[in-house]
Amino acid sequence: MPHQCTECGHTFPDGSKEMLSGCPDCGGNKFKFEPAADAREASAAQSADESTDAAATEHAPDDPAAAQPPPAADGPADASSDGSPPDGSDTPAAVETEDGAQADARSDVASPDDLAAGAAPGTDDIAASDDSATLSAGETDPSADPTDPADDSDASDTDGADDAEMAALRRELDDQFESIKILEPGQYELNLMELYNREEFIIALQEDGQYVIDVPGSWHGE
Amino acid sequence: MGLLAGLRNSISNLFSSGQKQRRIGIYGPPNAGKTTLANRIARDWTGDAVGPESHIPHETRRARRKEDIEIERNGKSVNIDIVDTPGVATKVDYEEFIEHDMEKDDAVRRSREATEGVAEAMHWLREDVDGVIYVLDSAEDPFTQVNTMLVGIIESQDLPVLIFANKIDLEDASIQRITNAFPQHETVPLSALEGENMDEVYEKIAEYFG
Ligand SMILES: Nc1nc2c(ncn2[C@@H]2O[C@H](COP(=O)(O)OP(=O)(O)O)[C@@H](O)[C@H]2O)c(=O)[nH]1
Ligand SMILES: [Mg+2]
Repeated sequence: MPHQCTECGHTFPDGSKEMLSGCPDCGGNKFKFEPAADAREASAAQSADESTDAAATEHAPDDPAAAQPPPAADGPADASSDGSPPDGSDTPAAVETEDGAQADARSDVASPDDLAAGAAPGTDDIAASDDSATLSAGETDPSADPTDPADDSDASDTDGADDAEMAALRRELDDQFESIKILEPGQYELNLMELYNREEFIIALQEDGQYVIDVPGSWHGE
Repeated sequence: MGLLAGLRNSISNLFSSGQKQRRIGIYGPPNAGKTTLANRIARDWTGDAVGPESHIPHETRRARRKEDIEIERNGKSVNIDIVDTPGVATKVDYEEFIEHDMEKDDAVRRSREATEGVAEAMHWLREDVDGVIYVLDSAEDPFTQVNTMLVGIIESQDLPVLIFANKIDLEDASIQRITNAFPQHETVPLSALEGENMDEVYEKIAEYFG
């Protein structure tokens, strides 16, 4: 669901690998991303099981070299993006506040990624994320945080509490690495490091949180 | 389209070791004087301007490039493309524009364009720039998160960089404060508006990016 070719309207599941070689129907290479708000509301009805299972399949380790923030800029990148000093709740260290995270896991709704993955269990979502064109606004590259617990564990084997915890941690990380946050129409917070690390190019931003992105042409050598 | 052509160019540049002219990105926070500088360089060497300058932040919301500028210094000539980029910020708020007497609709649109512009500037920094002129307003505090982060990224890419301490014509300008903030880089004082110290500016450009 999340991506749609701006030329012909062909839609792709989130992070679909297909679109990296251009739209199979028309060869277009601009895709619209439809994230957050709607999907989040729709997913509120989903069972906890479904969304947490989905979370377990949503990311796979990326090429770490490609996504690691440059060391020199590491310090400032970890600070909160609004210029205020890091206060703990804004930094990656916050993943240790498990109480808060778990509370969130129970009250919060599934992310759009959860939804997409849940809607198509066992699809190539994992494969899709290794091509670094994971395009959703709230999505992060798990390899950017070496402490990410879901990277090397198969969450489907663990119990529900762990799943929920992991989903919460994931969501928290996603939030931190979101490249553009729309606070309200006309008010934006930008994560410079994340924007810098993106392979694809945001060319238009819409108030509902949609992006139009351009997949680098060099990938399909046209 | 242009973007794809640009990406292809940047890739072919990688392999044609230094023969092509280098693309110099002018980066820095909003209102530092990037467009004023780009215009001055372009006018001095080609006669044309690059884009509108304004006291309203985020006047430049799309990267603009001026190609094949030939700068001659000390009998040596260098060819560069300059790219004037939108000012980089971690927050863009339409209320900033309302203070400049803009209607809300316009302010919101401008804010959105400015945000896209920052995304674009960050993208070019990663993909398509061979050297950076980092422009700062020397009457402002250089110790900001944006400055530290951007200079850090530029350093991590091993791009040649010059820090330009602009607006030295202003009373509370302090070049020292900028030198202290980035002691590892060469700082060139100037006034892009009044054309002060442009000789040194061109000398350093030829030296660093030639
Ligand atoms: N006093 C002074 N003002 C300058 C100088 N350079 C630019 N400005 C002013 O600063 C404002 C922002 O300039 P602009 O080039 O649009 O900044 P940009 O946002 O970095 O592109 C404008 O009002 C310029 O006239 C300078 O050297 N001295
Ligand atoms: Mg400008």
